[in-house]
Amino acid sequence: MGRVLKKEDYKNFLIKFKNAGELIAPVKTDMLRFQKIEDVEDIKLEGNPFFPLKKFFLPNEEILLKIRNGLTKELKRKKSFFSNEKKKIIFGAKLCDINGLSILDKLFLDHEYPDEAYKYRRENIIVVGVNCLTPPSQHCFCSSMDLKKESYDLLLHERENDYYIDVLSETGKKLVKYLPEENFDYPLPETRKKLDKKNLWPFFADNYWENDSEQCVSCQRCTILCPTCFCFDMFDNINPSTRNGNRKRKIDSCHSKDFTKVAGGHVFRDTRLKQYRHRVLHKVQFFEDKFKRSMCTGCGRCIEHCHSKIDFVKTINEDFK
Amino acid sequence: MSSLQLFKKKEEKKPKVAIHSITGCAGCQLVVYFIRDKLLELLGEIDLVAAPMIKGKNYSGQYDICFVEGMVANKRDFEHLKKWREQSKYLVAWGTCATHGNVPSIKIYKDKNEVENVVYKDKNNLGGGSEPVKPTPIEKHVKVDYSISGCPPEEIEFLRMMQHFLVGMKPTVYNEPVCVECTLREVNCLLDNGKECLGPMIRGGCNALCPAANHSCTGCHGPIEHANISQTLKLLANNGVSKELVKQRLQKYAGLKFEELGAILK
Repeated sequence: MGRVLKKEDYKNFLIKFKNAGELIAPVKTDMLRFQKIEDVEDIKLEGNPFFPLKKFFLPNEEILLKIRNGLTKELKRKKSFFSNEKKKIIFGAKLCDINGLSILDKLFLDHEYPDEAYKYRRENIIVVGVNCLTPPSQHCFCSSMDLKKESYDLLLHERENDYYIDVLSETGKKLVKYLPEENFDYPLPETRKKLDKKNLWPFFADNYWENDSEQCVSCQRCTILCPTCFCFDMFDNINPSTRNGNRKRKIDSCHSKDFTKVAGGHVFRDTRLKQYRHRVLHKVQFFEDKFKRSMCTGCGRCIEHCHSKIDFVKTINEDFK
Repeated sequence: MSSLQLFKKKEEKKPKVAIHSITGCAGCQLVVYFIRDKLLELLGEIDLVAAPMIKGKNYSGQYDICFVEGMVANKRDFEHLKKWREQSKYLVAWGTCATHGNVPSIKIYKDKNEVENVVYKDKNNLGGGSEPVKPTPIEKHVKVDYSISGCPPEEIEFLRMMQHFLVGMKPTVYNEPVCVECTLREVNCLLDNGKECLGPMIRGGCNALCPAANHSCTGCHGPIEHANISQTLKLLANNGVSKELVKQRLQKYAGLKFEELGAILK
């Protein structure tokens, strides 16, 4: 069950969000970025923001443990750890990013030991999506990735005369309860580019991996900007007195040479070929084998922002036959 | 591992640290003395036995950790370096001069006499070990345990290394390209926008200071070991950057290292 919003009420609808908490939405400066909104006129919904939605749920760097006078204080859902984190409403996320969240949910929530920090943010950040009418970039290939209508609180779909708002959560319901109800199944955008899904195991030793990885400069932009890449590194940050400090986790990447370094100094995936192949196969093969769902959501950022414009979709479609 | 446990077991015995300098601008040493908020705390944990820049009396016995900045530009430099190596348990090359040769090593790619005539009034009358030799980083002369590059290096890297020594860990040095921190800071990529940024092959740790200020990375930290030099040069060529400019940029901070990694600079 959804709601209907008249076009002339759109601005007031956003101002209501702004009053309810910290409103974050894409803003165009030199690039499209998720930013805190001061004026709702700044919001720009065309195009996909540079950095995916995951940064609000899995920050680039965060503290897990504090050490005070040699005693540790673990990260629990205590107020002190998140006291500076205001209630956020994220507006304007695309369905590919939102599907990224449902994949992260599988990894960080559907488990015996849920991640406290992620769980807290997932419960306290309201996600309001916006459906793409046309694919924002030529690199998009989401229509071949079976995007699901899930993991958001509300989603706006623009129609000729009004907006249809899809409601999924109780929190979302409360925000739009003043609007008239309607039942409508909104269509997903159709992208021109498509990933031809196939079993990639027979191509594991193929030469084409090498052709692609030779162009890789190991800049790690593909993994940092991926809405589902979640790998992190943990390290201790201790003051010179060695009595105080903290333990942090920081975003890491399988394209880093130190990523697979083990005690003794051995590196398992030491070549660019192995690193690149692992990333692509993890996205479209390994995860599928295990969770029956592709980890890639087809946002195309890893292709769009690659220095060498390495296109794994093209390789899989055209070369692996 | 052993070093730190040793320090921790006998708490009264603080690690003896030295900060020494050979040919260079002394800027790397200044970075250490400018760690305002944590320097006093750090000095409580270590014994800074030799630091000629800020101390009158300098201990000349055994050091636990010795930071050396600067590169070998004459015979006297080499003598000093040899002595410090013998004196110290761990020798850390501190700054791009010590790790890669930096600006003085541009001399290698120029006419030797031309450069020397600019620097010395009368180069035949120097004496005292000041006769110039081929400018080379210290790792070409003695065994270096850890290298921290940067012109100047970041103070956080000094603190992190001292932390690791003090806690008894094997020190690790940041080893990712500039692009990583640059992307995390959400900087609009200069290389994608047709500029001459060297980011993909340069070691980061600077938090992408220059690209964030819309200035191309010139590579003051020197290359990372696993840099894909040929592909990065291809990308620069695609951006229409002249071969001459790229060559100058590579020669500026770490010409010798880039040559080792396969770039042709001569």
